[in-house]
Amino acid sequence: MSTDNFKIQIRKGLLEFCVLQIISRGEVYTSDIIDELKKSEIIVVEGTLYPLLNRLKASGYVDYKWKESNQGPPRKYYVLTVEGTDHLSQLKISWKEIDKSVKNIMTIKK
Amino acid sequence: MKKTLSINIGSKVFNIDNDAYELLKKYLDSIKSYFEKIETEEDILMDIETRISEKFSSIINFSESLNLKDVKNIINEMGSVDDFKEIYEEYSIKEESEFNESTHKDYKNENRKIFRNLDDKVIAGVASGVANYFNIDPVISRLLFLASLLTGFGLIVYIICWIGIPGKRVGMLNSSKRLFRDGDNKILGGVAYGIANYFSIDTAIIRIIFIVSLFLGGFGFITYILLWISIPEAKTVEDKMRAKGYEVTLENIEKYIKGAFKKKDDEENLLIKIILFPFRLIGPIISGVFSLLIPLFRIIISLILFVISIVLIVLMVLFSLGLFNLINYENFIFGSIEGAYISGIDLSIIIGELPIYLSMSIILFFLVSLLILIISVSRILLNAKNINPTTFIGLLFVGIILFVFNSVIISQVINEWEDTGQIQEWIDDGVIKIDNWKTYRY
Repeated sequence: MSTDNFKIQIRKGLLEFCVLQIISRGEVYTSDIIDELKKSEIIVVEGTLYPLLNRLKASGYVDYKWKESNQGPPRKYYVLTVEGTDHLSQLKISWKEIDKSVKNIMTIKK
Repeated sequence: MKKTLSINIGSKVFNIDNDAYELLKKYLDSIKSYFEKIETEEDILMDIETRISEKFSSIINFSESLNLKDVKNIINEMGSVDDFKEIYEEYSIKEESEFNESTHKDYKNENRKIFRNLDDKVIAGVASGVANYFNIDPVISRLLFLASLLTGFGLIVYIICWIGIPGKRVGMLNSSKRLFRDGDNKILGGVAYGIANYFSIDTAIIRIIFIVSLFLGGFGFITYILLWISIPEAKTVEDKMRAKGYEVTLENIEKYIKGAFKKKDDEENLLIKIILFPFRLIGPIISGVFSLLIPLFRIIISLILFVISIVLIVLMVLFSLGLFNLINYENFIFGSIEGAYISGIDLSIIIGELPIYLSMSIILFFLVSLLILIISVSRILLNAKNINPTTFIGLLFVGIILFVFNSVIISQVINEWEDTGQIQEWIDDGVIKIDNWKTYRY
């Protein structure tokens, strides 16, 4: 496996977690989510976020409201639902476990 | 100098170069057709358009126009249909592992529901729906339907399927290589070109085979017409690429538009051109006839159903009158119906002699048939969609049961009448003409 492929697979797995994490801070506009994800190099192509958000909405983890904007059409602002908050805390626990395991493996010396 | 167009995307207006516009349109179309298949309630396309619009306004000033490079950059940033697919594939894997065995089965059954494919149709999408269900190329099921039409049986099955199977827009399924007619390179209907593409051979060979077979008892002609009806025309770039067996990826779409994939069809030599010339002439005429025939077909079916409905109504009135012994009642609305002859049998007398429960059951049967017909006509002619398929199948079922029940009882009643000599009496009175009776009974 090349390093590129390694990165892609890991990012993909963590995308949902990161998106929920960003939304959990409070109402957020879709493009701002994308900008942040791009800056931290979690996503490369932006289009993938839309199906993901749609799926999170369908699962009941997030919801959105329309807000008027002074530049252009109304914008979608995403918020976390109660189920989403639960789901996120579960994911956080899993992430911490994985993080710990990986660190352990990396620090053990022969 | 370049020609520019003005587009409205995400409620903002932009100037865009013609070639850049083509690419952007193909891109958005590919996304659209992909998400239509998935059937999400949310408008992903709108979100994506809004985002693209934001990007556009960040890179250009009001007076500038977007060029091919701008659009390409944005498409690279947004990602292709393949990137979206990954997200959904993951999702479906998750779905399956999350649920237990029984829900897993339901999920599969959901997928195996049959429906008429409205995105891939010649008349009503029945054949392509059946093909999707059995995972075969729609061309095969279309040919089967056409062949069975000759016996008349296929027509009835087709109409029942049309009414009973719900319609759905699911796009063209079978994403791999498919047989398409190609309108860009056609002489008659593009059949030969499509076949040549499918088997990756030279179009001229197929064309010559068709023309030669024309002189072998017209076999080629019928085959050609059947294939013309059965094979869908490649309308979008995606279809055209699929016809040639290319994966529909963004890169390929771009290459295709730029003409990298286009075959040079100018290589036809003079002899082939001369042979094909008369066919190029009659092509438009035949396709014109076709586009007339299909609505005509709809109208003819509806007309037949309409006539049957009228007959049913008349029979219902007749049997209802018979039930209340009003059929020969003087000065009733109809005066006296003294000659409701069907094939030489005077129904007006016989109906009065039927047992009441049988009359009622026959009337019920007519009523159900009439309902079925009304639903059929509204579906076929008016394209009504508010009819619940389950209700329709239920009606059909009740109709069949009533038909069987009535047939059994009627034959019993007739036997009884024969035994008591009633039939002979009627024959003597001229109520039943003896010749017709014989052909009925024997």
